[in-house]
Amino acid sequence: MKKSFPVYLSHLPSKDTLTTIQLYLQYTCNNDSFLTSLCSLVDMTSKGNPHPFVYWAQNTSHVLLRVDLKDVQEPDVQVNENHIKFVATGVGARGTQLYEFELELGANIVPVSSQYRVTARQIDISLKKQNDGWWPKLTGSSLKPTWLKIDFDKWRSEDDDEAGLDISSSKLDELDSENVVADHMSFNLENLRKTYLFVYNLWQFVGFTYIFSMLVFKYSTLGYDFIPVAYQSVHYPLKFCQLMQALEIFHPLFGYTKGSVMEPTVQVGGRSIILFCLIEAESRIQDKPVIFYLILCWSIIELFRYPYYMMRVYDKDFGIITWLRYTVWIPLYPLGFLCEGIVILRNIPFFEETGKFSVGLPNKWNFSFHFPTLMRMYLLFFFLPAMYTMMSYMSKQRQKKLQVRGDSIPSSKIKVN
Amino acid sequence: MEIGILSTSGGKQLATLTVDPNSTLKELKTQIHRLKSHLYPDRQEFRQEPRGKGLDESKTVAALGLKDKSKLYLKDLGPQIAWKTVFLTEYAGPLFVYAWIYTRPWLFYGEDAASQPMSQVSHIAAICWVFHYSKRILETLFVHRFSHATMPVRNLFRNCAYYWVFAAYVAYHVNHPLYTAPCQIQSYIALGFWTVCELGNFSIHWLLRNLRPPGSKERRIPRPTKDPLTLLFNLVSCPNYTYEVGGWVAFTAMTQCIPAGLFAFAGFYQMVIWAIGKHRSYKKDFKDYPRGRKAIIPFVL
Repeated sequence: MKKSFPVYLSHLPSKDTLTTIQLYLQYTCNNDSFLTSLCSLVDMTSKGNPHPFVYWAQNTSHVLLRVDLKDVQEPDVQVNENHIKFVATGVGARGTQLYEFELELGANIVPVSSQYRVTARQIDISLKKQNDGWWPKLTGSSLKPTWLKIDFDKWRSEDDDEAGLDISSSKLDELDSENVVADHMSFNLENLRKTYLFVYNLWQFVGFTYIFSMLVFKYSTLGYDFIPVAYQSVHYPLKFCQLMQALEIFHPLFGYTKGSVMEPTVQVGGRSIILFCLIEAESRIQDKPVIFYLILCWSIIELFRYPYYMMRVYDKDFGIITWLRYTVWIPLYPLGFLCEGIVILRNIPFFEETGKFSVGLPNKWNFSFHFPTLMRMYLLFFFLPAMYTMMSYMSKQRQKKLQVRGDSIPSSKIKVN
Repeated sequence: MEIGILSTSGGKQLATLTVDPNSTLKELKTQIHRLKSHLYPDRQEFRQEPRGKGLDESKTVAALGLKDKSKLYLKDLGPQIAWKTVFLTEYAGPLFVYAWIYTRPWLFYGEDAASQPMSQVSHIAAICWVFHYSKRILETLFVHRFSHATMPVRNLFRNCAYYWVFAAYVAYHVNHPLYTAPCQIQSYIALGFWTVCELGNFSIHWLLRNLRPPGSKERRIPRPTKDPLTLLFNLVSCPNYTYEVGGWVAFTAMTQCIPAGLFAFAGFYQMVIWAIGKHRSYKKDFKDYPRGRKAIIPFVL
């Protein structure tokens, strides 16, 4: 009869303690390999060498391990169909010494098609799966070692693969666009990229903090009278920051950040159209209260988004910032969408009257464009689906980022089946 | 022997089938359909891993290396609709929408529009459009052979929206009372070009139909026949798409209408993607595939 119960250890057990537990359990449940498994869970191998931190990820055809050891010269990597053993001297959590680890794999791999690559900061191991498909877990046993973590940077969820991001020849280089830049250039350029991204995000954060503070401060001193002149007082920094946001399309495009190009394009494009074509172009809309609420909404969202990005540039993860970034959107995105919808709606009569951005017949090219009609079409047919699509996308992101976080925190809880 | 059937979403056990090693996956699908009436065979796709590739239903259980107590994953492809149905709906729309707008209904143009004069080009354009879509409908009914019987229902709405909305968009401009026709020479030359492209497109469809005898799954490299319009096969893998794009470019030149140009461009974009895909699969399947051929535009793409 199988029984499963968690075992809580307050400290790393010594070898003697482990042997005692093993003998007891051998007596009770006949588990021979228990000692080895238990040792492999904690920091030490049965020989006493520490484990390095190993991050793992996968796609349909490969399992990718990233061993977090620096300045490794020649690692000893032994791989067979369902087992990997790694021994190397390098700089890790316990300083410069010999580190090793062993893993029993959940399914079979093809040793001859697997490879590894040594860099100054890590060792990347790519194991070719014998059968394409998703591995529910890396190891064969149900025990999860504390030194084995999920590699968020490379993590492709099942959904990402469905969307066709997987390329036929998934070699190390093609998978990790960020590290292609890093590993082929020197350490300094990687530093430069991170500094640039950090500064960009910081700059935008400062900009939107200024806008937000202006709005709040002036509203608290002038009261409701401020609202009609809100746009006037912040439109320069707002337009400037909005234009700067165009860079966020180029970051994933050139591989400076991970992520899709589509998402920032839609976000930046949409907001720019609202700001420049609908608000800036029509002065009569600028004194309406909805503008005040819209700018407030946009700037609050950015107040949480940019600090999160700043943190992520250096691979840090302060739970509260992540939580805020992935929770604050729940009320704010619909609110922003609604304000944008109202701006469009209220602008329709104005654009009917001025005919701005519209082209009429007759002309040589038989082309016509009636902006107010487009605005109506958007509100009637695209507004709700767009909001739904965006909300479900963010919801999925939230699930991924807030749930999976739990796995990476090392714990001394061991589940025994 | 027994095969366990698991769902690709969640991995839960859907059924256990008793099969013999020579059963094809197709027969398994029929069995599952008997157990779960909403899962008709076209809706089922077998895989060996939950996220793996779909398996060919003509393969036998033995050929896949399945033994007693093996597992297969089943993906529900969602409600399916026959390709023929989709095509007919997609093409009937533009036909009727254009014809309706050609009569200048008050809904789009106001009360006085119908009585105003219409340029000759607008009449010719209407005839071309109607002819093009009638040809497509007839080809769907009598010429094309579909390798896959069905597609997901979602595609129906998406595709119809594209065809129908674009038809209205083009029709609105070409039939407008304020429509300005280009010079006659331009229109007539473009019309001639359009005619050649329509005939060419049909020739290719006819050739492709005769390439594979009915019922067989044999794949062969398409090559030019006695019909001179099929000589384009020497230069491209998908001359049917080449002719199609050519036809729409000609239509645009004939009407000198940007909306028609946008429609041509949208079609071109989509067809490039299809052509490149087809070109690649030809090159993969046939080791002796002719090297000089491009995908859709001779010498270029």
